Parts: sequence; C-alpha cells; structure tokens
Amino acid sequence: MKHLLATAVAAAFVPTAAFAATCTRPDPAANVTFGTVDSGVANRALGGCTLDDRFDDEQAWGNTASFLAHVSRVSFALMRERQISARERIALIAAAKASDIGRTLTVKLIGFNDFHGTIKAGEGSSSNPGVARFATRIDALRAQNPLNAVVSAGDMIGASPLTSALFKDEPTIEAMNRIGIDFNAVGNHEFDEGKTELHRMQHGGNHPSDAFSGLGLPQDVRGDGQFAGAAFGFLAANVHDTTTGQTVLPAYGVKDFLGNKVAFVGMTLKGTPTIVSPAGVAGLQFGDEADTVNALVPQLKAKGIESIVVLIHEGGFAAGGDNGCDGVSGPIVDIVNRLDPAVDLVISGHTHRAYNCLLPNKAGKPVRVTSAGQYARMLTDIDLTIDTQTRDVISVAATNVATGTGSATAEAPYMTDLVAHYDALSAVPKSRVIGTITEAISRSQNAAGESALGDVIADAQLDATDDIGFGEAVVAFMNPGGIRADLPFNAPDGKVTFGDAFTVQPFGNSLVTMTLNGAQLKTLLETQFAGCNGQSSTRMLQVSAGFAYSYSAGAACNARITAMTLGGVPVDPSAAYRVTVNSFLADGGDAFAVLTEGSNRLGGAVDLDAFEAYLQANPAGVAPGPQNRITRLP
Amino acid sequence: MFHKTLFIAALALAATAPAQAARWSLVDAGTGFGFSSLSANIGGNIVAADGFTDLDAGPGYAGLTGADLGSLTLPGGAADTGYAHTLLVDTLGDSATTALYLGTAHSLGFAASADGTVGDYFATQDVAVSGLQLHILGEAGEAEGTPVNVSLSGMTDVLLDRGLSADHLIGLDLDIRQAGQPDTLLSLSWSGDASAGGLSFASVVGQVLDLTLSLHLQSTQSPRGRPGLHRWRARQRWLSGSPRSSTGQLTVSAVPEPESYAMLLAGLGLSG
Repeated sequence: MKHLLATAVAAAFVPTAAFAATCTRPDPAANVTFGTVDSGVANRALGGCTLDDRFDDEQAWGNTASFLAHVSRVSFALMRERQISARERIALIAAAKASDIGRTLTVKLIGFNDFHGTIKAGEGSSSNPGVARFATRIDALRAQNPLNAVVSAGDMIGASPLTSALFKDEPTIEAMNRIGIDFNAVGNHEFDEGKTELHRMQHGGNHPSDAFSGLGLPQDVRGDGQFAGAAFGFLAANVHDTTTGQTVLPAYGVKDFLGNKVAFVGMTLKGTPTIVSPAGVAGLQFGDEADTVNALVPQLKAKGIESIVVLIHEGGFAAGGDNGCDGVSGPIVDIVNRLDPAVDLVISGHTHRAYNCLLPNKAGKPVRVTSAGQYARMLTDIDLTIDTQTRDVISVAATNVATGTGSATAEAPYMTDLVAHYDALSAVPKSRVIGTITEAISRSQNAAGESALGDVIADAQLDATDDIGFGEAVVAFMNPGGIRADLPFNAPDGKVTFGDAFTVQPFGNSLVTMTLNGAQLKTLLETQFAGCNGQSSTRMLQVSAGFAYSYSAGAACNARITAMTLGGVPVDPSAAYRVTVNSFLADGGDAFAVLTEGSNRLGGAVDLDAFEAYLQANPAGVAPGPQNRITRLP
Repeated sequence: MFHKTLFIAALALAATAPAQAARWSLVDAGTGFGFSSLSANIGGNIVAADGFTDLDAGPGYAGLTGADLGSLTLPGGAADTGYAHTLLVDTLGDSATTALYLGTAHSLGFAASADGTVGDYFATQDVAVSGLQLHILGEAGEAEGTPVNVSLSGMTDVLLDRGLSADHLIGLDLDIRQAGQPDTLLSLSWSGDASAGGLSFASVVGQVLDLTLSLHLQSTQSPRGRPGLHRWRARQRWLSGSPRSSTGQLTVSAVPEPESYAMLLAGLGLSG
C-alpha cells in the first residue's frame, strides 16, 4: 500500500474539472489505448464508463497539440481524483503523443448542383425526390461527421418547377435555410432575373411587384414578415460589376474546422452571358474560371488557408455510371488543366451529369472533380483529409450517392410543412387545365437532335405569331435548354395543367418575330454545333412544322447544313423570312449571335401563353409528331 | 509587449552540504518530455503555438528545453506568442545533491490597432520524466545497507497574470520507488502565486531510487468552465502569461538524530 509522506497544498486547492464520461458503451480494452498505441496503463471502470473513455480519442481533434492538451488536463484531473498515479499520467501523455491522434482531420463535404428549385417530389419528373428526402440524405451524411459543409455548385434556383418558381424561388431558399447549407456558387440561372433579384435572394425582402413573394411560413420569413433571404452565402468569384469593379457577391467563403480553414471559391461559367438573357447580366463581367481561381490562391495562402475547394458551375460529360469518368470531355477538363496545384477539389455542375473524375491540374497532378447530376436526385459524399500541421488536404474520397425516391428515403419531418405550404398555395393556379394531349410528349432528342416536345413547342410559337399583325412568321426555333421537362400524360384523358406546362417552360420568355434572310437562317443552324461560330456545346434548335433540313455532323463548321426547305421549297439565301424565337434567343442567347441581326422585330406573347393557346386551338388533343424535320446524314 | 526575459530559464542550484555519507549516481535517465500548447481566438483569428520536446540525457544528467517565440499580424493588431518548457535532473554538482529544475512559461501579448475581443485563451504545459533511476553510493566506504536520509526541498513558484483574466492551475508530482520501501509521493496542486514544500524519507546505501517527476500548468481564460471574452480598445497593449519554475534539491545525508527527524516530519505533515 502506498504511503503518502507529505501533501502540501499552498493557496486554495482548485477542484478539478468534471470531465464527465460520455461513453455510450464502456470501452472494454485491457489497457488505455490511443489509436493503436497501448499506453500500458490498465483500463478500469470509472463512473459507468472506463478510464479509456475519458480521453475521447475517437473524436476529431484539430491538431495533435489539442489532443495532447486534452489528455494532459483530463489526466491531471484524474490524478487529483486519485484515479491514476503520476507515473500512469506520464505514460498516458507519452502514448497520446505517439498515437499521432490529431495529425489529420477528416471533414465531410456534401456537394450538389443544379437543384433548380425541385422542392416538391415528383414535380417535373417522377425521378425528382423532392427537398424533404434530399434533406434526409444530407442529414444522414452529416451525422457521420459533425465536421461538415454542405455546398452547391450553382443553379440552385432558376428554371424551377412551379411550386418554387411561382414564388420567385423563395421556397427553395427557405428550404436550403432549413437544411443549413453553407455556400452556393452562382450558376447561370442565378442570373435569370438579374443582379438585383440575385441580391434579394441573398439579403431578403419581398419582390417589388410580384404578389407571390413573401408568402413563407412564419418561421421562414424575417421579423417584418418579408422574405428572409439566404442564411448561406452565394459566391461569385468571377462576376464583377463593371461599374465598381467589385465582385457582385463574395468570391469565396471560409469554414473553420477546429482551427483548420477550408476555403470555398464559387463561380459560374465564363460563358454565362451567352446563355442568360442579356437583361439578366447587364453591367456584369464574367471572368475566366481558372484565371480567377489562380489569382485568388495567393490571397488565400496569405490568410493561412491551404485547403481550397472550387465550386464551379461549369462541367463536363463522362460515361461509366454515376461515379464513372470514362471519356470525360467538356469545358471542365480544360479549366482543371489550368488550375493552380493548390486547389484540392473541384465540385462542378451545369451539365446535369453525374461523374467522379480525377483530372490533371496545371502541374499534371490529378485533382478530384465531381458532379452530382441534377434536381436533388444525387449528392456527392466527400471526405477531405487535412494534414493539421500543413493545413493542406492530403486526400479526397468522393462517392456520388442517390437521394432515393418513394419509400427508399423518408421525408425529413422538418421540411414537409414547407413544401406542403407552397404546394397548397400554388394548387389553384397549378391545377388549371389548359389543354389536352393524346400521350406523354417527351423532350428526349432522337439521333438527329429533334424531340417531340420541341416540335410541339416550336409549332405553338409559330402558331402564335404567324397571323397578320402578329408577326407573319413562317418558321419558329426553340432552344433545347428552354425545355426543362417532359409533358406528362395525366390519365385518363390527358388533360394538361398549367403546372405541367410551367414545369416544361418555366422561364417566362416572350416571343420575338424578326426578319432574317436565308443565309442568316443557315448561319443560325450552323451555329448549333460545338466549336462553330462561337458555340460552346452542340445545341439543336427545335423547328416548327414545314421547315426541314439535313446536316452532316462530320463536316466542317459552316458546311454542315444542307437541304433547307420551307414548305418543301428550298430556302433562298437572299430571300427574307419572318422567324420567331423566344426573347432569350432573340438577344443572342446560347451563342446564336446571328439572331441579334434580325430586323423588323416584333414582340409577342409569353411563351407559356402561346403554348396554352396552341393546346386550346387543338381541343382533340395534341399528339407527339414523327420527329422528321431534322435529318442527320452519315 | 512580450517579455522575452520570461523565457530565460534560470537554473538555481543552491546546494547545501549536510553531513555527507553517500552520493548520487544517475543509472538511467528514463523517459520524459516537455509539452506546451497555447491558443486564443483574437478577433476571430486563432493564434496558436505548441511544441513537444523529448528528454535528452548525458553522463550524470537528464534534461530537455523547448521554446518558441512567434509573432503574427492580425487585422486588429499584432500578436506575440511564446512558450518554454525545461526540465533538468543533474547529479554533477555536489555529489550528495541532485539538482532538480522544472520550468514552464507561456505568454500571449497583443498590441491592438483596433477595438476587438479575445476569447478562448487556453494554455497547457507539462514537463515530466519517469523511470529515472538514481543509485545511492557510499561516499566514504559506507557499506551497502547503511541508513541514509533523503530529503527534497526548495520549491518555489512565481506567477504573473496581466491583460487577460485567466485561471491558472499548477500541479507538481513526485513519485519515488525503492525496493523494500513504501512509495514516496509528493503531490502539490495550487492556483495561487507560490508554493513551497518538501519531504524526507529513509533509504540505504546501495538503494536505487526510481523517480517520476512532473510539473503541469494549465491556464484557462476566466470565467472558469467556459471560454471567457475580453474586449480591448485600439492602441491598447496587453500581455498575459504564466511563467512557473520549480527548483529543488534531492539530498542524501547521514541519518539525523531521532529527535530532529521527528521534528522534521511533524513540520511537513504526515499522513498514511
């Protein structure tokens, strides 16, 4: 038995901190063990837990010193409680040092992109799980690691189904606030309604004129009852106000994980002005993506930040499944090829594809590049491992995981009331019957690039503008990116609701009829192909009935289009034709610059109104056509 | 601003020479370390300094010294951090006396250029050695088994605390084991400015003492139990720190007269 010869306590003895045990199941190890290092100190029962449980070595530590300090303090308290001896305490600290616990820190990132306001399950597509299931999956991933961040690579809002879009996408912002996401990089669709509206999304306040704004539930609106704005940060590193020279929103956001800072640089594609209505990007300048990131790297390093994640609304295409990267192509490849090696991870979007790639950066070092498809259907589960001494990322593991629909994933109870609220508010306008179709009409393109729904929409636009006084159009062209969903067949009689049609065409573009000559029509069609006349990716315009042409995809730029006919008559290069497009295209959207040359412009109806009128003009029901207007030649 | 003089470790060996019957010989330095960790949140920026130093040893001594000074320019001013930890067990002086020195010190200084706050001030320091073995040898031909007295004395401590209100807790522990004898334990813990103590126990020539010696210091920004917050004004300067040093001598000497021995034990307070 030990014999205490002397105990001298000067001044006031300070009671030790409680350091309550937090075990759920007492650790049964024979000796206290830190990681794989056996301290040699016998484990024993302590207050329902064990000595080993007191040291919390399984939890995350921001660095080795913080864990050592923890072991030092806890063991000091235990020694004062006479639970351990001085020798045992020293053995415990030595083992803690040898364990390297705290040397690395794993942070979980949950990435997504192209959410597009899909808060309601099944809206737009039965494959859309809805934000309540989305929240469940995010929460499940977050539960795996309390050190986490949820980040979006753009197009969170814009081109949304009616349940969000009718309310200016405020429901989506409120849903994301409830989830508690951290950052959203702007995408092109964040600019659909311009800078002022984007700032309103960030900072709150009701829309100045739209009566459907500010209708959120009490817990989601701010004190004065108006829209609260985003509790997370929008990021726009490459979008500058041409007047002030400043970015319209912060270039990056930083999240601190136990003293280890991770920077998230957010941006949209530099080509945003070519695919957004000019009114939406007026006064803004969009910079090169890689150049923007590389210029920020020294600034971040000067702040002691070594872990850098890029959230970019630009993407690529790859085969091989949700986690494949076979034959990767697209703008993201070149962007990553030019990135500073300091960038540790790229979370991309825009192409609505799912991929999981390793692409070489400027130094030839592979960088993880992910994209999680679209419409809340998928999340990217990412584990960043950070060296806590260098503060830099040393490994990245990423997996795309499906959100799950139906019973596969439960809806988060804290989200269902929000969705139900807006669903109820939109029920009347959404359920209004605007026409009939004979069967579902798909936006899927055939091998030539023509879709049944594209044909119907182009026909509707021509029908709305072909009369005298309304444009006298002879042909209409519809951009494929403006067709956001299939038009479903509602059994038993195929009634089309306003909600269905809105989901297909949510942008609210108006129609514009202009005069082009035959040569300009050919230029228009030649510009459909990637790399030709400034086109970034192939975009097959949908054409109205009576117009037909052929193309050879393998031919050279401006030599692909042949056999253009209108009503069976060859198009005359010098003849004038009245052409209808939507306002987005009319302003040169999607790089169809030739449309800005059109003369005698006449504004027309909103695209959705034209579609409704077309359905009503065909009361027997509109049927999908044969898709024989565009011919792809060998 | 930061006082670098705080980190000059002064080894004070005030050896006394009682009636000498034996001397010390360092058999094994054992294992030991010094550890310091200091951090604070100054205006949203984490300022931290830390280090770990392993024990070194040579003929007749074992020791370690680790120290670091740092400065960092922050948005709200300039911060200085520093720490030092030192341990020395030295048998090379007076042969009857083994000098012990344990020292820890840390400081956080700040010169503010703008109003701001500091919170989460948190420092932990340890110096320790375990398994250090001292052999008692006869000084003048004393046979093994000859009774000797071993005494430890000379503990001192100084604390400074300015700028930030912090709770300091200090602990000093000594554990001496020898074959055939009960363990000798000294356990001091205090939060004030100074402490002193000593002990004495019986041994014999030929005995090997196995020593564990440790000094622990922890400083936590007040109020206790939760991170405190301190506000400062532009152009203010403050320094917080807690230098702590303990010096002592482990002396082997002839067994005193019985009445003197009893008086010594009574003075120290005996418990079992």
